[in-house]
Parts: sequence; C-alpha cells; structure tokens
Amino acid sequence: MLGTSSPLRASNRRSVICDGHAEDASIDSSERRVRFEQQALPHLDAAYNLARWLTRSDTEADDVVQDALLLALRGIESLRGDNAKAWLLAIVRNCYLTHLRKHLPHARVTDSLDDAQVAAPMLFSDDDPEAALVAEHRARSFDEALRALPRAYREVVILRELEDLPYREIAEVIGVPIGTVMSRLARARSALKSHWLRTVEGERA
Amino acid sequence: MTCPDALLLDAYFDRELDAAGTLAIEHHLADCAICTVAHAQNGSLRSELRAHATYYRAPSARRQAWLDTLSGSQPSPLAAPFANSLAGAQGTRDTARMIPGLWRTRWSKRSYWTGAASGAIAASLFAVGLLFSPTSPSTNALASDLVDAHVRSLMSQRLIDVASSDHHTVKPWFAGRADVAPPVDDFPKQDFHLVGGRMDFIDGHRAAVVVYRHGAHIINVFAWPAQTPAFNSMLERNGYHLLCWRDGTLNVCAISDTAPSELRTLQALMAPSSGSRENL
Repeated sequence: MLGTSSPLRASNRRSVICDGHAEDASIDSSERRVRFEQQALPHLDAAYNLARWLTRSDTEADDVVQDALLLALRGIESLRGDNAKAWLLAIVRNCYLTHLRKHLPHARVTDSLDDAQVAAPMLFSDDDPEAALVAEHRARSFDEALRALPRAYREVVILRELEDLPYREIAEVIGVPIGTVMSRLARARSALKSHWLRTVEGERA
Repeated sequence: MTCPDALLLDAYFDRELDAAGTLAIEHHLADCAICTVAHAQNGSLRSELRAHATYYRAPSARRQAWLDTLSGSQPSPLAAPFANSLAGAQGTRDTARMIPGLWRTRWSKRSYWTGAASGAIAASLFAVGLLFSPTSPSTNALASDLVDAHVRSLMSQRLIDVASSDHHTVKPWFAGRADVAPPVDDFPKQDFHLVGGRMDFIDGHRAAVVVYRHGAHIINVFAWPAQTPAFNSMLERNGYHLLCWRDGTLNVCAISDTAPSELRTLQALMAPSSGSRENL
C-alpha cells in the first residue's frame, strides 16, 4: 500500500500542512487505528488547546490539529510507554512549526533551540516576555497577556499551568533540555506576575 | 541566610525536587519572608491562570470532522509517491522528524527500506549524510549547552567537585582529570572569589570548570580545547550572560546571571592580554 497514493485524493484535503510519508508497513491499519483511538484520542482536547494557543486562531488550530492527528495515526507505532500526551503534543507543535514555515515563507522560523532568534514580527513581538507584556499595556485579562507573550514563553506556560505536564515531558514536547524549560518558565512567570500586579494596581488607581 | 536560586524555588513549587531538596526549601521558607512571598505568588498565578485563562477544548463538531478525514485517509492517500526521489526523501525525513521516536523505529527496519524503490535508497543516503555530517555546533547550540550546564550546576549538588579557594589546590586537581590546564586564580580584592572546580562536558569535550563567587552570584568559567574560537562578543540567553575568549588553544567561556560588565572585569583579570585584543 506504500506509494500508491493518488494525487486526486490528496487534493480533496482542505489543507496539507505537514504532509509526508510516515506509514509503517509492519502494522495493519485496523491495529493502528485501535491504538490511535485508545492512546492518542484521549488527549484531543490537550492537542487542540496547545494548537489554539500556539496559532491564536480557530481556523489555524483546526488545520494544525487535523494534520497532527493524521501524522499521529500514521506514526502510532513510535509511541511507547505512557507518555502519549507529550508524544501527541510534540507532533502538534511540529505541525504548527511547519504551518508557520508555509504561511510565513519569508520569516525565519527556526526550531526550539533558536526560539530567541525567531524573527517573525507578526507573531513574535520580542524575545523578552516582560517587554512584550509592557508593550501590550491594554491586556486586561490573562488571555490577552498570554496571547502577547512570545511563543517560546507562551508554550511553556500552557504546557505547565494548563496541561500540568512535568518538566521532563515539557522538555520532550519542545525538544529542549530541562534546564531551558525551567529558565523559560521562570521568565514567563515573572513577566505574568509583574503584568498581573500592574493590572491590579491600575484597577485600584 | 542565602536564598535559593529562583529556578530551585520554582522547581519546589512544581514538585520537581527530590525529598532532600524539598526539605531544604521548606526549611528555608520557614525563615524567609521574601521567598515565601515569591512561592505564594507562584500559587496565585497558577490559580488565576487555571480559573481565568481559556482552556480551548476541541469543538465537538470539528472532532467528528477530523475523525472522518482520518477514516477517509486509510490507507494513506496523502503520502507522496515513495519513489519520488529527493522530494520523497525530503518528505520522509521531515515527517519522521515530526513524530517523536519514529526515526529510530524506522531506521531499524531495514526491510522497510530495501522493499521500496530506489528513491528509498536516496532517502537513506540522504539521511545518513544528515546524521553524520561533521557540522560544528552552532553558536546557539553551544550557548544553550553552556546555559544548561550552568543551570544544572546550580540546581544540583554538584556545583563543585573540588572545593577550595586556593588555586594551588584547584589547579593540580584538574591535572589528572581534564584535557586542559585551565587558568585558575583567585581575585579577592576585586570580589571574585575562587570557590572550586569541577568537570563538565561541553561541545563534545571534557571541559574544566572553574567556579567563582561574585557577591551573591556564581560564575562558571568553562575551558576546553578547541580548534576554532567559540563565538565573539557577549551573548545573553535566558537571562544569563556569556562571554567567551580564546586562551592559547583553549576556548574559555564565563557565564553568570551577573551584569555583563562584571564578566568583562573577570575576563580582564583572568586573561589580561585578551581584553586588549578582541574577544574571540
């Protein structure tokens, strides 16, 4: 069944963000489907939540999740152990990066280790979380403040505070050492705390 | 009373510390109002986020649409033709990289590759080239390595392997362990106190690390043998400053959360000649 795909069928798909060839001939499709439904699907909400916070858009999150699910189904045999959530979220994040590269072909979109260097003005206002939030002085709510955070910081907050992942799994999802997760999380928290205090004081004044 | 590093306090808050580390922080919190406030703020922030930040659940209508698409996709209608030479190879590699653990799984399945058309061979050759090409780590990778090693040293109990403020003790200690004889000195007059040394691993080399204390800051100075200079100028990563220079055949990098000017002062003390030249 490898290599027999038809271009016609491929074109039916609404968006192909992270297409490619990942299917393993050694598992049959029904077994793959069962494993997918048992192990990956329970984390669908988490997948959508991460995609939605990364893209900050309903339609883009939809595309990213659809592609991530397809990849997860095809690559299900690579999932081992009990870290299905981190595994699926890593695929979501990779699909998001591919999505960015396609939609912002001129922006320098780099992967995890270079986050601070990412230069895509539409999406990354600054690599300094504190400065990003000060610039976004109108952010009255936590949603607005989170949206204003540079992506490298936003994603660690989402994964830690909303998804409750331990450091080790966050490191797996993002593909960076635990020390980097910790320092990003600390800076993101510090920025959010200051922003929160400023907002509270602003309301009092 | 010395407060623990902020990262350590966060790790305690996130329940990432072992029993001994947890006890140590609890002990400290009992006495320290500043850290108690910081810890409480972490808790408030989390409660506020969980109460007020939106958790976007997968919309139920879309959920069904996704699953329908998946059903329609069996078997694999989207896969680029495998024999499609480099384009196929590129797709294979990219996809494999996007799924954690897949690369390793696939690599071991030789029949999978040999069963495919010649494009698959191109794919694997291409991949081998990628895996083994001797590219030196980029500045970013090296900087991240150094930051991580620095943070690790502060987090764990192994900031120093040999504790001594006497450079006549520290320098010989390296002799039997490191590939290099790093510059070791104590500069108490300038408030750079030699604390000790340890071994670490940077850029594929065993590196000698000389540890200084400057005020409340710890400065790790890494030294390792390298053919090419690391990077020039001062770098900032995750709130830490890195300053590298060349000492003979050694790359020397100082890293700390202290001000950049303090690192330059230490550089001038350790390598009086390098400051007047340029930072390599």
